[in-house]
Amino acid sequence: MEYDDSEKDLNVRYAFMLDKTAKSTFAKLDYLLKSGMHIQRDFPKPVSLYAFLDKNYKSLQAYYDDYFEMLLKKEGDGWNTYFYIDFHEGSRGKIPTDNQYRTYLKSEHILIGLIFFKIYKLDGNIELSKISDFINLLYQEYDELLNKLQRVVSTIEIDAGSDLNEEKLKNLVHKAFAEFEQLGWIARDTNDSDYFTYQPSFERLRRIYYPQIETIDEIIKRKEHD
Amino acid sequence: MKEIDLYSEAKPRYYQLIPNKKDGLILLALYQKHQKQEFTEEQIIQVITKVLSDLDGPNQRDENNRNNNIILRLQEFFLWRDRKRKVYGFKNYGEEFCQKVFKRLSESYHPAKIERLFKHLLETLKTSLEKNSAELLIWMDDHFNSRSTELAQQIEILDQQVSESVDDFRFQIKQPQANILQVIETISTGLDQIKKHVHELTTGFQITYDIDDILQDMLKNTANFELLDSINLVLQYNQNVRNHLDQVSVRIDRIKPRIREFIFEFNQHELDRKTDKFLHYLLDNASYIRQDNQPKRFVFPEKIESFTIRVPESIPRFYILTERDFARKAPLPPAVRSVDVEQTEAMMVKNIEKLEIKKRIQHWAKEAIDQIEKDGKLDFSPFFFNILNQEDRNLNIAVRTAQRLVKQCNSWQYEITVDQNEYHDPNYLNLSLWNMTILKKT
Repeated sequence: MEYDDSEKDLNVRYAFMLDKTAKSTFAKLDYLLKSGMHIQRDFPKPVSLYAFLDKNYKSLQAYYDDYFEMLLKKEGDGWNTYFYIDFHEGSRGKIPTDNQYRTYLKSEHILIGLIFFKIYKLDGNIELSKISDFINLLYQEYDELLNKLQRVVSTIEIDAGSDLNEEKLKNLVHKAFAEFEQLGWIARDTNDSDYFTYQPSFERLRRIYYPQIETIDEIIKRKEHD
Repeated sequence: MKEIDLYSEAKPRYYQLIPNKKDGLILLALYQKHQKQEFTEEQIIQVITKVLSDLDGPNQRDENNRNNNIILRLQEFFLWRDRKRKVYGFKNYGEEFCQKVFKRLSESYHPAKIERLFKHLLETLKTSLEKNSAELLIWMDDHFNSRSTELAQQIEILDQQVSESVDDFRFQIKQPQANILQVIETISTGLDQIKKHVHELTTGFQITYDIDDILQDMLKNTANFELLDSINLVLQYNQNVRNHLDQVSVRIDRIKPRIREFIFEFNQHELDRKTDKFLHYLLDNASYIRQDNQPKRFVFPEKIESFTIRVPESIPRFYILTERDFARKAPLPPAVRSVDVEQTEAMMVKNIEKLEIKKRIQHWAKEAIDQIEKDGKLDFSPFFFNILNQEDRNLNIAVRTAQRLVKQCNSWQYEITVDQNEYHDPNYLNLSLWNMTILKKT
């Protein structure tokens, strides 16, 4: 975007800097966003992070675009709004980085995430709030998913852990949830890490794959054809 | 009651004791229609056909074999058959089974009844205790024990209703034609209703606090110590029912915002179906690759990649060095310094005085040396009294000048001679000096 660098224009373009809460909020917000955190109303705390983003979204977006070539995004509606930096499409050059040093969400964690998303969201298990309950539910009601997941787990190499499939699965789920917490997709109870609260940004996991999901029927057809 | 191992006794006969879904529903339908009256095999088969076509859809074939098996199974515990008259009826166990279900389902929640029950408990307790405190045991037998289950059930019913609402929600959103907004609206209203009931119950349960008060008073009397267990039992019960009631309320509070989240995502059935398919596709087609001696890596089928969640370089890293001693020190409180002006001034006066004396001593020493240099010698004794005269009889200056001179002249350049004749000055009668002469060596 073209803009004039007169003081007046800069004050508009980077208006967030003039916000009176900027001094207390911006450093933490910047750190979290760059760490990959998704920020929504209820998590992470304090609420002022979300409020600041919501109020200054346009100028923050300009700032990250101009100085880092990072894409600050806003998704979801109303109560389900969340913000994050899209490293996938963004960060084209300002941060010196080598592709191999980027941190990817591990494929097995994506699978756990999608399975959880299906059980919680698509199947409406809205009372699910414990990781252990999630694992139990898999065993009790999701035979097919469980069997397929176990195929994955049985060959996976997890650094530490038992050879027992059940232990491995449990480990994997816990690691995945720890990663989801880092991303702000769930919030965990500080007193009991088994408890979590689903956050609206979990939807991002599905959004990333919208193109493939929309065309899944064709993808499968093509696969069968081959 | 005869002691039996319930588990091993029931295991082989489980399905005769507890009917499967189809059998159970057939039984209930039969009971609904005939209750205590007798009925024929023909009538049983009618019910079977009706129930099964409802469960599995119409166009069920008439299967004599199947019907026969069901009837035989039910005869084990639930139905009896009069061979001669060819009629059937409910056995005691069968009737109890159906009645229990009937009772559980027809029971609904009655806040007024709860309040009445508790009031009754409170009043009977008071009357019993008026006689003597041991009457508590009789009260528990006659009133408390028989009522407590009923009261707890009222809460269970509410809890059950919450579960039903959630199940209903799960069922409704899966329906292809579901109007999500409508579903959410209905469920929310339902939950609000339950919450209202919880609130009403809470009011009813207030009376348990009155009961608690009476019992806690009893605990103060040592005579009642043998009733301790019974008192505790009632107190514990009251505590539990109140907690349980709270939990129902908390549960509703947790569910409501989650239901709200669905409002924004209605009409996503097609997307949801495809998401499900996508998940299975990934699970079916994911595989492992091993590259350059690295650990095996799990990858998705082609064209589906993982995604970057962070770029470590973009995250500022702070190296925080903590030096132990440095870090541990508590900040020092600022020292409060005050200036004592008077003392400072006094000190200054003293110091100036000292400096002044020092200057005089220097002056006199110089004078003496000058004289020695000029005359080749100095008779120190008259010089000493001369100092005293000029320095206002200050002995200090004169003595220290002498001291300084002796020190200064104690070298090869000078010679100090002392004869032991005393030198007197008429002005200083109490003072005498030996004659001391300083000579300059040539």
